[in-house]
Amino acid sequence: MRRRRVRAWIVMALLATGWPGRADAYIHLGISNGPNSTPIKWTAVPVRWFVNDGSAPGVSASQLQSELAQAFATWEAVPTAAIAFQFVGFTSAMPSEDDGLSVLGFQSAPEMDRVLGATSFTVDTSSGSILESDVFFNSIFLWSVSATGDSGRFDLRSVATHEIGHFLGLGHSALGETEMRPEGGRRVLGSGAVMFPISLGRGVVADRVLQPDDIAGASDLYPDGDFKTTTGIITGHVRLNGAAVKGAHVVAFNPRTGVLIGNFSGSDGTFRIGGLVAGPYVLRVEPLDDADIDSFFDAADVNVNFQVTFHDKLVVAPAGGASASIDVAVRAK
Amino acid sequence: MSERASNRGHVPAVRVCVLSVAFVAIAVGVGGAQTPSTLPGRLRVGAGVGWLAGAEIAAQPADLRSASGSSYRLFQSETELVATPTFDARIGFALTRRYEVEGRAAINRPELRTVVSSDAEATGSFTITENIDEYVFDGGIVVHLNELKAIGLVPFAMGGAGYIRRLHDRQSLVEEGHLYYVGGGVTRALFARSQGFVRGASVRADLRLNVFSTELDDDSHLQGSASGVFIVAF
Repeated sequence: MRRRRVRAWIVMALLATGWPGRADAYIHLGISNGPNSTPIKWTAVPVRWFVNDGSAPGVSASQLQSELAQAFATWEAVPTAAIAFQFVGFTSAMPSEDDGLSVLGFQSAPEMDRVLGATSFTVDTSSGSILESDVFFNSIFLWSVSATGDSGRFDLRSVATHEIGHFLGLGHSALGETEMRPEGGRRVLGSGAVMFPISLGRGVVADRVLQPDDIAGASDLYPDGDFKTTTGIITGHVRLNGAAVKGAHVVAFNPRTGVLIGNFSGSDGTFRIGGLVAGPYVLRVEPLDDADIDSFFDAADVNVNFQVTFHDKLVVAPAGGASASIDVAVRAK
Repeated sequence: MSERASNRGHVPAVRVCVLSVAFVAIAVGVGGAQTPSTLPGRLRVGAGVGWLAGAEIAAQPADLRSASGSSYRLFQSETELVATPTFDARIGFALTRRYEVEGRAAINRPELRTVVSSDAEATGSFTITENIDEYVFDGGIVVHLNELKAIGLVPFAMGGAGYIRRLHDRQSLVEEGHLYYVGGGVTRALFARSQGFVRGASVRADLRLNVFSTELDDDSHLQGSASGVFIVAF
């Protein structure tokens, strides 16, 4: 068994993740094995988790545990995903320790002044099995456990729900729109996923609730029941002047339900969007320009020099299968 | 993909298309004859062509969650089935001079069209399409209003229900649904006789209002149709 420590971040406004693996296999985190990518996931369930017994200003360890339990329950409640968690107890072990325990807790990281929280893993790099995952919440920020939010504090459960998405093995979603702040950093205009890498901001509790993109990602990684036979996949290539486009954000939009689910094209321009309710979809391809690219990819060759493009045909996601490969030609800016 | 020069106007939630049919009945000097369809106990077989009106399927925004609690619109979409020719075959059986039961199989190839507009990052609107194969099997009752016959035309009313089967992307997806319809029209006899294998022939024009729903959404949709049919009675 080859063990490796890897890390993913959630950021407040500007910074992005440093994810050393590949993110081009759906929105799952993956381990690069030569040219291939192996999604990482838990294989032993229920996943046992501990809470560090430290506190942060205004939030006790027991309040932290309560918020985490509700965030875990949110992911457990996805009807099309089979994942279960078990709270074991409080511990003095820190989230950053490679000790075989999956620990979540507060930790002060003043050097990460734009990082609200981070998730790290120990994985079996041959199989992709997650052996341990730790989550820390940066205690340099003020946190809230208020049911309706506190305008001066970040909602702990919202950020926990995001980090637990990483804990499951999900990467960041690019389903969101941002604008640059005059003082630097980005402001989120809209977010289509809890797994969008930038927080909606202080006082906002909206990300306690999963969106279709999150549900599709979790279900695709931990499929339950008839999920695989009742949902479909859209696959294809993104090309610019005939050349593969890496890092294009491809979104499938269901025009009957309004559901949006996205993914990225890989280094060869291919993309795969799974977990789609069977039906025809609109495909929208956009450059990855609403968050720092390294929120999603570790490579610098992501192409963002093309226009937002709609594929000219509705693309059908068949139940239990995949579409024929779709070629989407984008135009340069 | 085509970029439209201007944004579409608002499409009403329910569109009822009123179609007119250019239908010429061939008068063959049997104005006073009994129409074949009103001969009780006779089987009738017909074939027709017509026009299936468009139908609004959905008007859905692509909305994102915003910090304020309201939504941020990524783009707007409007989806419709575009009007298309329809071809059908029918079989009927006259129970009495007034009442007839009728079954129909129709083949259509409508375009499913989504127009995307008001994109947050792209100007103009975009038309995105798919051609689907649609098969409709329905049946109902036809009530011939013989007492209202005028200038050789016998009006009728009809109603019934049926099954819709749509094939997307060369059958990679089968969409099933059901429909109900009401309508009416006129029948004109071409000839009628009391002996022989073929007992008569007639032509007919009808207008229908269909209400359909399928498994891909929970909504009911209105769609008009018009057709002309050539009928032979045996």
